[in-house]
Amino acid sequence: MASLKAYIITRALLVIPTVLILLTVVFFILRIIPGDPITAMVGQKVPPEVLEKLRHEAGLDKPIYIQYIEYLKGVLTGNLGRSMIWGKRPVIEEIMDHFPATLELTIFGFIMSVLLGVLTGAIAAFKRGSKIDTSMRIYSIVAYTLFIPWFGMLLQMFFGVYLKLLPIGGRITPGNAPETITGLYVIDSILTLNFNALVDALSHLLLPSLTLGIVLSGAYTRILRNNLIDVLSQDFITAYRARGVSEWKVIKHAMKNAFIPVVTLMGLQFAILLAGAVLTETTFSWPGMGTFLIERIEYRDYTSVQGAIVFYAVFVALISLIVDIVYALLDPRIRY
Amino acid sequence: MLLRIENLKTYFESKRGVVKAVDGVSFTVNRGEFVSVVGESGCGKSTLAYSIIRLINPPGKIVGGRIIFDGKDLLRLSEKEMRKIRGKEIGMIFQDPMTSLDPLEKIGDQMAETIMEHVKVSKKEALEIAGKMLEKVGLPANRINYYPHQLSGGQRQRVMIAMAISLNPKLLIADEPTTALDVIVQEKIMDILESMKKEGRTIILITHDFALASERSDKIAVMYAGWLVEFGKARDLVEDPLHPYSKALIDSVPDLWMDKKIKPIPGFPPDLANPPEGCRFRPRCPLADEKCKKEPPAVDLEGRIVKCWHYEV
Amino acid sequence: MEVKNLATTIFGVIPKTEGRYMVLAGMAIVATVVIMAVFAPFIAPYDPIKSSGDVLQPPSLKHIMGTDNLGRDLFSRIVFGSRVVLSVVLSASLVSMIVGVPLGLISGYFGGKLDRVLSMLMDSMYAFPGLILAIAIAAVLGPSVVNAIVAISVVYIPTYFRMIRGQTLSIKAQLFVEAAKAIGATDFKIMRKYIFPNLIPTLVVVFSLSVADAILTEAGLSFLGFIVSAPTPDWGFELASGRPYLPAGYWWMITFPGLMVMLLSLGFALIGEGLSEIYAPRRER
Repeated sequence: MASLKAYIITRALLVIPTVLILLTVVFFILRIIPGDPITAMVGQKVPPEVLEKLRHEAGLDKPIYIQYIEYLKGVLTGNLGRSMIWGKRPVIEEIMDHFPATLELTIFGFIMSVLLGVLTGAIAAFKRGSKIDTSMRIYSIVAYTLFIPWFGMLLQMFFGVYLKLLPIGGRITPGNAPETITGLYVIDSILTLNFNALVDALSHLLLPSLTLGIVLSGAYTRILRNNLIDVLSQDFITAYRARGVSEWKVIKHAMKNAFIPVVTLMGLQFAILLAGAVLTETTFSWPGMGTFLIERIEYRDYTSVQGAIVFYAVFVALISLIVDIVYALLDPRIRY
Repeated sequence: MLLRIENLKTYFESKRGVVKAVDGVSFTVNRGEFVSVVGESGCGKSTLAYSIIRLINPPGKIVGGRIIFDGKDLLRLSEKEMRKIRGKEIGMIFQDPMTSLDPLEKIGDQMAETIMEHVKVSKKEALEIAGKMLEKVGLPANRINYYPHQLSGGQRQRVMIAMAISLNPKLLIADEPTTALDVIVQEKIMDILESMKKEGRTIILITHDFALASERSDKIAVMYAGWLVEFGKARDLVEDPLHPYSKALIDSVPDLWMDKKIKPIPGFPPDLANPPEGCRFRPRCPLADEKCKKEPPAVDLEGRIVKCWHYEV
Repeated sequence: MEVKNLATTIFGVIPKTEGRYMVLAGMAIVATVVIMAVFAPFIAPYDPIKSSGDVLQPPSLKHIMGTDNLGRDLFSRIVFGSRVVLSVVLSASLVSMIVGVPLGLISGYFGGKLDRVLSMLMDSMYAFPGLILAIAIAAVLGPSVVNAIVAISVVYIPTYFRMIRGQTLSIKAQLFVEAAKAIGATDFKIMRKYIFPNLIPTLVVVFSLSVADAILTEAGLSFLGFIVSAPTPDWGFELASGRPYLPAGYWWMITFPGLMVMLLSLGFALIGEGLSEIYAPRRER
């Protein structure tokens, strides 16, 4: 019957060429300009010997195909080179310092966007044709044209500056961070029963994830509304009612059916989520991957920048794989 | 008497006006009878079926009449009471087996959900009942673990029938159950329906296939443009139709063996938002005359009903 | 008056669906901003890069959007900023179209190995977060308006490619294309005469929606400092400049530029959404 394993294996294998292509694209983007990226990033004002040294450190004096192979080798073994500034730490370590912050923000932003989107979409579908429906649809368009920094700052202004209810930046009050187990403050504080840290972390998370969540919810509103309307007009829904099944159960079945195509959308939305996270992090001084990327660009830390982009690429590919597997788990028709 | 429909009117609001899909239909179905409701597409027969179980959604509405089922007027019941009747007292079989089953739930789960909704049994017991019902329609009991997409159209229709009878309803309404299936499977499904009847159930079959209706029914109700134009015992009606439309229908049915000349009915069914004045069959009727500009009464001749000025006995 | 007749004609020509209002509203917004950009020197009351008043003044009759931290009139900066936004976004979108559309058309029409390779490449790029890709390119090339155009155009090429390729496939499958082949039309002719004209509706919708998105990408890049540097006005950059003053309660330097970004994006989005409603109206049962 269900050949879930075969599907997962097939899908996982497909990830490899996708990631390979992305890695190659990233590789070439960072080397497209005449001259070399070091020169471009560092500028002209540096004496040639220092430039040579930097180029050598970054491995850019080797022929291109060797660079490419070493680059791929590095990615596969998790070696993304060393940062070119400060303590010259391995890039992968620096990334891992910043990644949990982005992960936490992304997860909460994602949850918010799905909840808001499903809620507004369902309301629009059930009140179809009414003014409420129209306003939900307007909401969905307005939501995705919101400029994240602007919207985030408006929230900061209102809740942080005027109402003084919530903090306007950072992940947690300095010194309050819980013991590191996963790096996700919310989970760590729950695991270590540190409720002070939990409240602190959540209050810092609220505005940024709300910003991300609202802006990304728009797409879900519309697709859920349309799916739900389609599903509700299907025969099997009438069939359920004809058998006397209670209306709540009918709604539950309708939502289940309407929700499945939404899962595919989640995969696509994830990339947008990550991009949005970069802006959100900058706006809320959130110490995640986005802040890391921008900061290292400013410091001309070429290897760190390359490492960060590579990390994003692999991460996105992995998430899309997970989304596809989840989809197969939910929809029995996929498991051939 | 199990079901008596009295002057049922179901109308739909549309941009073109009020569509009178069912406009004053009355007839009686007795216990254990197999009644077929036949007519062209759009004559209102499906709407009639859905009206009986009160699953008419806006912009449609049941605007008048009574539906007496087992002593109660269904149109007077609350939604909650009606829900108790749906599935348990009246079972419905739908036209398209492909889309009538929830693709995300196993067959057994769907059936068990219905059973548990109406009677107090455990999930395990409900699944057992489901399995037995499947066997009754000729499917192996293990199909309860299958998903709908894993079955063929004919098998799915059997599942629908099994679901419809699982709570042993008094009345079974089948809305074009064989239209989406091929002829051989059609026969098998009709056999199952007939066996249901033999077990004492009352069956209402909705179909546009007159030949199918005449084969197995006890009684036939002929509908046209929202009206019941003739009703009576199948044998009587087929041998000696009283309404010109019934006559035309019989004449238009191809006969496999005889060299019969097929006579299609000229013209098109009327627009139910703007039906013709008087008798709705008038534009296509060979017997139409001045009198027909007034709506004919439905004459009851000892159980035989005909709605025409010019019926010939 | 001529304007009134024009409006009535446009209004009458567009089919009677909800989409009509959206398109018109969107066009109104876009037209306003375009006028603002084109006639900037006449509309802006002050020089955008010179100080024309006291610093950090809230909106007043003299400066309707207030002044920034260097005493420059915010409204003038916004008016001139629209030039940067529109030129970057429209140039980038044009480039994306010029590259993406033919590639999509050829790939969809001919299929085969070329199609498979291109699709894989484009799908991978499409899956990657757009802004981050733009940041990577802009970072490598260096902050400037031209580089921003390059960066943003690369980001949207896969979008045009995919949409056009998809439409090409569905048009190709229709009988009239087969008929054209049967009468001996060359591939190029088929593409030009039969397929391309049918792509135009989709193209217009994709263009509007991509531009709406590109505006947000441009604003994001600008906000992060990858496009302009002081004293050039650009909406996203204004937001970044005004940000340090927010905790002290200076709200206008952020509110107005951000609002403009949203409005312009909304304008294009409404056009795109409205058009797609018109071309494929939802069946309202």
